[in-house]
Amino acid sequence: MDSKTLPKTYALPYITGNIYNIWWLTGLDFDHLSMFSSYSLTTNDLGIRFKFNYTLNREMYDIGPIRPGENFNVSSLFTPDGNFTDSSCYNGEYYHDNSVGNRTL
Amino acid sequence: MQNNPSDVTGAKGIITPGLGNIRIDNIRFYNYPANTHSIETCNKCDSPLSFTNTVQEIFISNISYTNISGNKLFMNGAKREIIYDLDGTFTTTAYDGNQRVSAAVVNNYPHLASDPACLPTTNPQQWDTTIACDSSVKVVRVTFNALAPTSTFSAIGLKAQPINSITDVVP
Repeated sequence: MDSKTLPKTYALPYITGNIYNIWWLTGLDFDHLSMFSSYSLTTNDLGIRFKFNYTLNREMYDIGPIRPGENFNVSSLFTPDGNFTDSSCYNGEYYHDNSVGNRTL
Repeated sequence: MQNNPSDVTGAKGIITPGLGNIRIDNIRFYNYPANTHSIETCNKCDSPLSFTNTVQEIFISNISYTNISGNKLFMNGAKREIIYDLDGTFTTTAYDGNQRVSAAVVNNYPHLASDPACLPTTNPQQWDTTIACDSSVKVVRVTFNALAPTSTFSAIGLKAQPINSITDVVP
């Protein structure tokens, strides 16, 4: 993987099991983002949860598959009305809240 | 390495690649004087035009240092690498007084350094600005890429902050 062939690449080490809030500058909205994890991260490891805040309203996000490896469990979309807690978020699931003041993916 | 400092100033024992991963096993370093690097990461990453920031993974085991006064580790460029000390022979007690079974050595990024399992070296002259995370945690690379619109994310740095709960709000 080469940063020249994958423009706008941001690679960092993270600790499994942790939750990270991710943002750019003072808060920039993205239209597209791909995510890759190292092959060192196995299905036996604790997951890493990333929280992205955004500013402009987004009705929805299209979530694509992970290649290779586990697919996102897109049938388990949490909604703002869902019971979303630290313990209710499992591998491959995502949560989107576009209510004003929250706007979180 | 011959112990003649004037001959070896700037010498490096191992330079790890700027792309891809590398395994370093069963290596002995002897007699590295000041102004040398036993291990230097990310080949040519000191040149901004050839920077690669994709977090190379370096796996190290069964190594030893004898009579080293130069840098045991120097991270080039953006210092994004993860150095997996698979058996504790890379860090040893020389790193910070603690002997670890294994460790992940990374740059002292705040989002990692805030974890109690990750401690800074007591000798940054030899170990660069690194921290060692013990075997109670696992450090892995995650890459966000193809950010769009590209113009919006031009020359913009990513910020990562660990939070205790998914509902926590970063100020």
